[in-house]
Amino acid sequence: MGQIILCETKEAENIYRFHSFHQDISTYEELCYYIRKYFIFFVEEGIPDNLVAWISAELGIRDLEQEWDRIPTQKEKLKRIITCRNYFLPQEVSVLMKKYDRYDKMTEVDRKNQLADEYLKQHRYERALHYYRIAYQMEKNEKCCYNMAVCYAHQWDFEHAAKYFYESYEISGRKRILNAYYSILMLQGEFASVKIMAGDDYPAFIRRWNGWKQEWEKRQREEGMIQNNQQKKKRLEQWKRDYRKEVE
Amino acid sequence: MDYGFDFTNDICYISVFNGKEIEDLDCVSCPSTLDERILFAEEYRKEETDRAVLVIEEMTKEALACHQPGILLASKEQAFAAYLFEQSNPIWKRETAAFEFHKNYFSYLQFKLQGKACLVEKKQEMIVELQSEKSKDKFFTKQAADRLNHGSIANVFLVGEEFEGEWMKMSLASLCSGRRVFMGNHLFANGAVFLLKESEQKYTVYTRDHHLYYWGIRAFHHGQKDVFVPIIQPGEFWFTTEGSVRILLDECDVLEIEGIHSITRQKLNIKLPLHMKQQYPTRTTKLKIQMYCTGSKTLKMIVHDMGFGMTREGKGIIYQEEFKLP
Repeated sequence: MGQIILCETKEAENIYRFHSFHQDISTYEELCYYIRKYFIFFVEEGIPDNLVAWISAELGIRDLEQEWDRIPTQKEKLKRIITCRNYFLPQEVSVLMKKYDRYDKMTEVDRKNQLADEYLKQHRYERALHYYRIAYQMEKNEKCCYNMAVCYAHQWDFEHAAKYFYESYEISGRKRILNAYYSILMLQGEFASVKIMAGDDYPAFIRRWNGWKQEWEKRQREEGMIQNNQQKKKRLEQWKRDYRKEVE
Repeated sequence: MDYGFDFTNDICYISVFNGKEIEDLDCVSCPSTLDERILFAEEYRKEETDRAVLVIEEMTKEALACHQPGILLASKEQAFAAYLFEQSNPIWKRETAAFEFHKNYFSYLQFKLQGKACLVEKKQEMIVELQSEKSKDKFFTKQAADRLNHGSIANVFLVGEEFEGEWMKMSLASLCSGRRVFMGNHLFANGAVFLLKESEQKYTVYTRDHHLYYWGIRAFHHGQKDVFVPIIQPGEFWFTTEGSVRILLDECDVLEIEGIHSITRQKLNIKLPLHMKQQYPTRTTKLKIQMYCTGSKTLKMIVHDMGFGMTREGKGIIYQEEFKLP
């Protein structure tokens, strides 16, 4: 059997928005849920200044604001937020704090890369690029260059994408990255260049390129179908809610 | 002056306490609605400092909501207990009962002490008009035998104008065997006056209209697992008994509600199948459990899906059921 957690706080009338991961929240439980989900944002970017005031005013947790300035470190502050009401079990708090320590012990480059990776997962390419650039200036590595290229590609900046894919290939020498570089060139219409550069590998690359193309088209079709199904599901849920309200 | 009014059907017994002694007035006919009865009692209150307690047949939500300065409403059970507590210890330390017999109205009250609580149970009988004295005697003999023979009642009070006369022949024998029997019509009116006395009462009086169970769930609270969190507290009238809690489910498919009788400590368990497992990410299902009494022995439970703040909209009521209590 699982666990039941008592909710003590009220729901906020005015929502709070986390700009880092584009999430609105209105309850303490949501705050804790997103702290765990996007932990790296809280470690790297710190606790937003207005969050504590919102917790105090909207959720009615006054004790936190009163003692806030007396809490010495960011880690302690984060711990105080997640333990001020019911949500995390004691062992979960200790796991999160260990995770915090792990981040703390990482090199600056690794931390920036991790944060950029999180932004990349969020499809926030500009923010991701911002942190990848910082990491890139400190230390060039294959993963950083590759991910920067991905970000640029998603922004339709194929020129930069090609540059960083090639740089990543130069560092690692992996064929997979070279193929990504050729693909970008193909997207730019540089078919002849790819043919010359690929040489003997060209037929294999073209087969793979066609495979990707088909896969992409198939995914587009599936996404369209999923979207259609989701809309149907949403409509059904709405209808159920309206029906329940009527019955109540 | 303190006034005690005992309203039973259309008859009212009145007692007056002048600060020294209690005087019982003759019974008078009275109105039947609560508003009219309050006006009736107001007639007796000459000065602003005068207080009155109205003993009514049954406590209701409307009666509880009545806040007239200087006027208090009480049930027969409360008045009976107040009367007994004013008597010497041997009376109320042991089980005591009262029979109330008016025209077309018969009831039985039983007073029992359990720890710091005092239970007064009332049972009302529907009676057809008893024509002859013999039929009355037969009826009461049966009642006395049914109620008293299986218990250890040491004292019995007889209240009501129907007990007057010489008709108790068979019944008197079974009634008086090993018990003390008292008779008088102003028991509840006297008890009403005693309710106003500012004596320090060690016992809490509960009647059949009080809900006596704690209802709650075991949840994570204040850093500890499986802490009993009450949803409903005992000791309130059933019609004012309600409560709710909000919880977060973490891989729970069955919700277990615990009930504990506040006096006997008897335990009850209610298991609610929710069928919500795997539907949403863990710890993102917020539920509101609402409980309230629909009668003195029935309890209704409603579970609302509250969603998860801005992340997910709630579905509303997902479970509701009415339970009968023992």
